[in-house]
Amino acid sequence: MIVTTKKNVKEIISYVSSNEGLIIVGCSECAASCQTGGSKQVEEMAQQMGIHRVIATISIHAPCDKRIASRDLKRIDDEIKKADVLIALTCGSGVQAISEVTGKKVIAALNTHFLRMVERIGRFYERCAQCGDCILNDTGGICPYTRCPRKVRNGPCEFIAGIMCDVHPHTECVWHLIFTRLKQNGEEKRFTVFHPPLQWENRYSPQEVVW
Amino acid sequence: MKGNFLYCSKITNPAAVRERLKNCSESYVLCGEYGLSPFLLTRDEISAKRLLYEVVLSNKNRNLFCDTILSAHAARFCGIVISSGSFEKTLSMPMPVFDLDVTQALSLATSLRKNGKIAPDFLLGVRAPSGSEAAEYRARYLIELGADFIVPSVSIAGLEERTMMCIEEFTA
Repeated sequence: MIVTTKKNVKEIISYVSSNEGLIIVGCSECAASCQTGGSKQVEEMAQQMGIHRVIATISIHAPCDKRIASRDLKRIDDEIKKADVLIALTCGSGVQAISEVTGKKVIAALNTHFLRMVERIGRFYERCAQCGDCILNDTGGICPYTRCPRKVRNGPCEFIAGIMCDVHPHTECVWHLIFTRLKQNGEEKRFTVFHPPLQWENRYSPQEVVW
Repeated sequence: MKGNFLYCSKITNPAAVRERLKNCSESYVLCGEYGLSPFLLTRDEISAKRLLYEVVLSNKNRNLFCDTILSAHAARFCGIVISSGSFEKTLSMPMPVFDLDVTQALSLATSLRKNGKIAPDFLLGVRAPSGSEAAEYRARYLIELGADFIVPSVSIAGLEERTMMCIEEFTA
């Protein structure tokens, strides 16, 4: 799931001319659980549009999936034909999928941040940086690349203060956590498995998986 | 003990560093990269003392790291100390970027030695973690990987013969 935050409404309105007809599209999956793009936020956005003409509002289950976006947007096909602009309360992938499906001008109303682990609503944590070279099987299921500020893949670094991180002094060093977990599992030897530098070609955008 | 060293972490005035080096009795001096480049010292000045070059990994990709080692070797430093680099973030400045950790960097440095690009007696040292079980596990591994010596902040039992410690830090 993707974490998003709201953009300032004034910034969004600055991209819309006063005579343009609007459709507001929400995401009832990731953005809804972040409380940035669910049906409630879609209605709030419609009210905040002031003098601008809102033709329709809709929440789509997963607007980042072009098949779903295409199917669900068909329900308001007539309104889309009349609209000049769509405001998307979705992640960046959703914005672009809606644009490709409709061919209309789409304004991003959210900022997209990271892939999240959810503790509860309002407590989202990044645990995977999508590096494309996963070493979790050697690190007791704890990702050092995501959680170490220096991105150390063979740690800890020399700045470890006891068991604490020097950059985030109130946080335990992730490599201490890894060592503790491996020891619990009787797998200390995995602690020194050498992990080569990250191959940046795996992170070179835009990435595709096609089969 | 492999030895002690004097640590000039930041060069701001090369003339003052030269003066300090003339009067220094320590066998090793480690020159940090946090200020002006240690390459401002001339080859004769460098070879007159046993100078080590501290290669800081922040904001250095693997190509620049290897080039820095080759340059330090050509400039007659007697070796390097690989350091992660402090994580400094000041307002409106970019975050530091880390492409390599010290273990990966040491692996690259030992491959330069194996390939004959640096002399066998060019010392390869690393700043090693210490003070916890995980840290000491890693420090021992750095020796196994080919470090000639480690520089921990506190000494590690059993690794004293492969340890160098800073006895004084100064900036000039």
